[in-house]
Amino acid sequence: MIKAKDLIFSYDCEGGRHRSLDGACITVRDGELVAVLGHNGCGKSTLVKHFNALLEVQKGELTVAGLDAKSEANIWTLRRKVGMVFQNPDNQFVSSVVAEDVAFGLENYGVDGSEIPERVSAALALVGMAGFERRSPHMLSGGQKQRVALAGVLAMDPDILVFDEVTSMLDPDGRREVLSVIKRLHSQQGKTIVMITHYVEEAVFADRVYLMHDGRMLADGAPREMLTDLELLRRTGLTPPTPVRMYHDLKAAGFELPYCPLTNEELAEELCRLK
Amino acid sequence: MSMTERMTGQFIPGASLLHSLDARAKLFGFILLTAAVILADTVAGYALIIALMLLLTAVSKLPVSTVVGSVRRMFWFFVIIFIMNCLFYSAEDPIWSWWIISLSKAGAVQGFNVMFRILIILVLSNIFTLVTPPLEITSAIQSMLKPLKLLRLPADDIAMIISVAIQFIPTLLQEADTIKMAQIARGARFESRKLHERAAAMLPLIVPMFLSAFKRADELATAMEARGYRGAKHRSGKKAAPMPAGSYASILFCAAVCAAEIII
Ligand SMILES: Nc1ncnc2c1ncn2[C@@H]1O[C@H](COP(=O)(O)OP(=O)(O)OP(=O)(O)O)[C@@H](O)[C@H]1O
Ligand SMILES: [Mg+2]
Repeated sequence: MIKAKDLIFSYDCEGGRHRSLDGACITVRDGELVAVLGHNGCGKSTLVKHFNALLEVQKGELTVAGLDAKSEANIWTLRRKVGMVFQNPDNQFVSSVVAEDVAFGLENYGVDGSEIPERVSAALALVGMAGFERRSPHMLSGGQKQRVALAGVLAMDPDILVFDEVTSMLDPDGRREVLSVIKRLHSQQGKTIVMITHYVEEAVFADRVYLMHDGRMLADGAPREMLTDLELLRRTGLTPPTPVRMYHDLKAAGFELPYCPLTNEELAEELCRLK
Repeated sequence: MSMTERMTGQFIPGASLLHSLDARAKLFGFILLTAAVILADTVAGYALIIALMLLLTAVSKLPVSTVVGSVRRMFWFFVIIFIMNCLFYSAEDPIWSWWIISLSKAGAVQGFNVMFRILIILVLSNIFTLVTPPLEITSAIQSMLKPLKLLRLPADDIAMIISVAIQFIPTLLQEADTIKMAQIARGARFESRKLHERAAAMLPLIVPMFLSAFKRADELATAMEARGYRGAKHRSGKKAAPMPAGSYASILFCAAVCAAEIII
């Protein structure tokens, strides 16, 4: 469970002219998959970096997994409970051997050396990278790199996972791989997931979507509700998913579909029904 | 990619004797052998070193091309070192001379010495990093730097910094290639014969490299912190494990080579 209330944050600290967070509120329930959408520089990364105390709460309330994020004493517990994967797969590796890299977090928490190989293998298996222990991350594809980075986080068995645009530097295949792992972690492992993205298409399978704009939340709700609202998306500065755009274009041209499709599959189905 | 990978001697998993040795023994042995290479100055001494290199390559079970790796790319570097030494080392007893330049036999010998030592040390360090996993190198450096702690220097963190820096060499090299291509596409003249044009072409390469290196360092630091890093001393390591006997034997072997070089 994550509960943030009226977070205010500016990078140049007190008296900052520009607020990167300006009263941001977000609630993520246990086991929920929440997508956060917003244009470049609206404060998404800044927001999630509060969840594991990478950034200090300047003003507002934040509880994560029952811990008060403002308390200095909670930092290390928080970082263990909240796993975070970042955008650039090349800038997350500390070792050129996959197994050593995945073990990095475990060693930071003083996990007993005899336990480590087993947990590393288990984490790699979770992301479909079993058997890559001795490989070099530099030799892997983008999607594989991100899955290894994810394994490094999963090895510590966090309850909450935060993904900060983890697919934005990947090719379509890599994106599909990583997304399917994320979905699986959510449905089979019951992880609580916060996923930042600016591909609107990736928010479709979330339980709930937050639309963020200039340091605060504009709206939240089911993907179908959020992503078909042209006016809301326009205010957030996002392009609606292609099927939604098609729906509205068709409507303007005089073809009314029975409902607004969100995915390409739904769109195809609707179009087939259209005489 | 594979080019840059080879260049820096990234660890290649294997089951050879060298792979199985304790990283601390390998690091210590590497330092002893480096000393031996620097001490070598007779034909017999060089022969011993060359025999040793062949032995190490054979024992490592790595392909020769991988072991030699980056050294081939530095051909012109060696040529220049050799020529500079030939021409400028000694003014006595010249074979040919003009102005401040004098070609001498002593210079040629010195040129060969310098070239040979740099080459062998490069190959040695290549072998070392090819058979030792990076974080094991880190903890080996860590235990070697322990005395620094008496001076209140953060030995553990220094070791971590060294090892992470090594990790990033291939990424940065690859990036240099990319930026270079982009600049060439816009008409930069890296291949120009005129020195000032080449120098002018380097600047737009160096500035983006630095910017990107800082950005990478920043992101990596954040990622490390997010994974619970708070200084190397909190990490669980294999520090306490005593070295196996075989590793002591290998150190002894390297010390013997070093001693032999002092004698001959
Ligand atoms: N380290 C920093 N120092 C100063 N300002 C920063 C820093 N990081 C971000 N900012 C500023 O804070 C604002 C929010 O940045 P943030 O990175 O949170 O945005 P974002 O929504 O994650 O954007 P993107 O989609 O590009 O990742 C931006 O205006 C940005 O310029
Ligand atoms: Mg961001």
